[in-house]
Amino acid sequence: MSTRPVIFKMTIAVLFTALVAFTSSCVQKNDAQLVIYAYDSFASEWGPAPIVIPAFEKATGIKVELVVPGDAGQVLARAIDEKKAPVADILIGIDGNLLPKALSAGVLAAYKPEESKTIPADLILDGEWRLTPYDWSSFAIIWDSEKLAVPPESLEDLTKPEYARKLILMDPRTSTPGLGFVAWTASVYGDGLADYWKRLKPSILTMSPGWDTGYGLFTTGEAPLVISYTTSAAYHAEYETAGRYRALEFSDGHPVQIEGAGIVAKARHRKAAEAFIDFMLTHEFQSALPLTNWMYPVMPGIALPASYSAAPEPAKTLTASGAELDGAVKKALDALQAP
Amino acid sequence: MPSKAPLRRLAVHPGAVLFPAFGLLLLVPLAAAFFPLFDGGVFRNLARAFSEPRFVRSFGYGISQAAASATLAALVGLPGAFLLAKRRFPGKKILSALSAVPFCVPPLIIAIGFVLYYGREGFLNRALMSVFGLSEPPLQFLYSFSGVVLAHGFYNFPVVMRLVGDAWATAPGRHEDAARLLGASERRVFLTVTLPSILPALGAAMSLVFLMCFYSFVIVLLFGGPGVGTPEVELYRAARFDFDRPLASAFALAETMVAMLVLYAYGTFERHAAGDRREAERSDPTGFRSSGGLLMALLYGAFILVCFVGPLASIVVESLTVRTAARGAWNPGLGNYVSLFARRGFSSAALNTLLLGLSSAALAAATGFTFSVALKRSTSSILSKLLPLLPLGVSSVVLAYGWNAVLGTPSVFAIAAVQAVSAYPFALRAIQSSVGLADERYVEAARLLGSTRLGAALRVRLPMAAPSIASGFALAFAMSAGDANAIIAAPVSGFETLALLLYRLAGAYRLNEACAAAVVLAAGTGFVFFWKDARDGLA
Repeated sequence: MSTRPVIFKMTIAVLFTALVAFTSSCVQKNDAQLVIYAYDSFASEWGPAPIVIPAFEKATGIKVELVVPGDAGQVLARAIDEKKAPVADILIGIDGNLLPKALSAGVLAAYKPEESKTIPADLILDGEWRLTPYDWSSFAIIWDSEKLAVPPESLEDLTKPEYARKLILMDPRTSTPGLGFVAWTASVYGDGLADYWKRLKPSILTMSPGWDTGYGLFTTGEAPLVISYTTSAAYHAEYETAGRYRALEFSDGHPVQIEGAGIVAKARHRKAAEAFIDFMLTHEFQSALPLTNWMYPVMPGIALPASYSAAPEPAKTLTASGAELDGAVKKALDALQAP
Repeated sequence: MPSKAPLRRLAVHPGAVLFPAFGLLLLVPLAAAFFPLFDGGVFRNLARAFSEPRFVRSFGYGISQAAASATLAALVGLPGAFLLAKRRFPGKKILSALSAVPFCVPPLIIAIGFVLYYGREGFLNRALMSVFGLSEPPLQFLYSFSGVVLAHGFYNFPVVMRLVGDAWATAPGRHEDAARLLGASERRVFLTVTLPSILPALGAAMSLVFLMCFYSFVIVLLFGGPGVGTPEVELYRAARFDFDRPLASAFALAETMVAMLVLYAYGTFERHAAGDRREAERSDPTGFRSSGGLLMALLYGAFILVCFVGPLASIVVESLTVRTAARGAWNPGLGNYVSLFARRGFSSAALNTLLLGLSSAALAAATGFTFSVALKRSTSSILSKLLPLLPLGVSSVVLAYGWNAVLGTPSVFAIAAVQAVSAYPFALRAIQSSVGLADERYVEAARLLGSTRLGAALRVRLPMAAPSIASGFALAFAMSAGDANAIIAAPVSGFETLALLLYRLAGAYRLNEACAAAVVLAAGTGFVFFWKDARDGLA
């Protein structure tokens, strides 16, 4: 009978060890206390992530796991797929055009950060704060001043015969700036949208699948006009001598793209997620954006690099509704494809 | 003991394990990709897709551009096939190594190359403008239907050249000799004897090019003119911007149906071509018989150099160009390579490319070998002949989405599976040509001497097929290394390959460095090809 307690104790010991091993392996898995889904250029080595993520970890002691599902559309698609059992706590990169889809899918939870009051009212994307803006820029046509003497001054000018095959756009079906341009024309022309695109067609050299290819064609010299952001001019000023590539200010006004981040509904690490949203509105995070994401910080009073003087600040900004965009894209494409 | 029989069958037929395993690798993600189609009723979703006018228009465009591209590839590829098969000349290995290009150079790079070369500011236009003193670029076809067809045709002509060249080289010369003896003219010999013997290979090559162009994405969107659409574009939009999975699945299904029809044609042609290979006899290539023939060959070489090698060379030039503010000025230097190699993550990307390529290629080559042995023995229905080709008709993007849906999270395993599945029909083709021709007597002798079927396969068939398995492996490796579609469709955090790095560089104002990455990638995969060709002793 004396051997039994020994075996008993050993069994307990083994079970206990196994339990410890099991739980510690679980803890190891959960060690990342905040899971962030971000789009590729945000997370890339040239993007903000290598600066802001370590800064956040240092400031809060929260460990971050950064997941990159692809571009912003893929970030949202993945979150919608995982809606029932969310993996992510934070989604980064939802813009005004994606927001209606995110809201109707119900993947975002409201959180109003402490610094929310400092954000200018026209940059606030959602009154219920299911999305907190962190940066913005204006869409603009960039002009290659060496290849074209007289630049256009409005969307209407772009349809003139002198600009035939001189404009590079991006496909609204596959690219965010492409979608942004359609939104721009929709908010300026309204019901005349289809007619405008019919007139614009001869001016379009090509609609590239993504911003990268289209902008690459532009800098290669294939066409002197391209849709991009006003802040692209700042990029050229930072890394090349300023002057050749300039952002054009149009009399129609310019639509803004506002990028935001939100907490996932039923997030596993809600407190840490709130800490991150708060951190986004700190000087440290905001001042990293101009030279990494090439966008303006949302908080006023952040000093901009000297190169940003090359980016014009449009006098008039336009707001477009993301919800009606699908119809606008359809109209524009139908106008282009009509024989 | 009847219960043991199935087990023994498994041991004897490795195919009995590999077939279903590979079927799973293909069918599971495919089923998952089509699953949303049932959401709200299959017919309703299909009807919704077909009622979209842009849907029908996109099929019209997709099919017509692919057909035109395949025709152009055939026209450009046929003279090359003849030269590869029948003539001996210096530089033959280089011509034959061009067949690596459609498989190993990513379409984005081809597109950039075409822009740098044929573009309004491209090398060719600038040269023509300075020679003839023109003020406007004379070549303006790039951004139009003909631009798409030319890019596709030139990009894919080596496929025709290689497949038809192989068939031509082994076409039985005695039939031609017999026709000549009976007094037929050379023209008549070509039309009535030679052409029919290479026709199946030509048909197979053209169907293959058609499929590759039908699924093409970047080139069509970039050069097709504003707003042009293919089914793949509409699928992408439905899945990514409308979040309409049922509609996306309907597009995918319709697209796959068209591809299956072409695949059926491919399978039929291939079977005829394989049948012809049975009575193959390799005639030795000769030198040029007349100066007229030599002149034609030189003209053809010049044409290939100007139209096809030019765009590729422009990428090399671009990678060696250090850009400053003034574009257009050529400052040669290795700066792009220096910053590329110094990039953090470059070495791990290179290692990942190698590992991913090796595992995809191993999977593809193993399956290719098993299938080729099984196909040789099987006399069964068309389905079993078509099933192995199925991956040719499925886009890797659809497969990657499917895996994502099955696993819930992207994984490197899924990427390797997708790449292996997409590459293995090509590995199969390479392997089949030698297993199919192998002398059955050796296998039978081994079996008579008491070897099991598996033993005979491993000890007799495998060594006999080893060189062609190496070819299949090399091809699959190169395809996997050059492919970024699967990783872009289902990115795995922290996992980067050279092909993905190339896309990211191109997307971050770093076109020159992207070109450098492309050259590094092409040099790696090109080397594998060159080595393979040298071993095959094709020249």
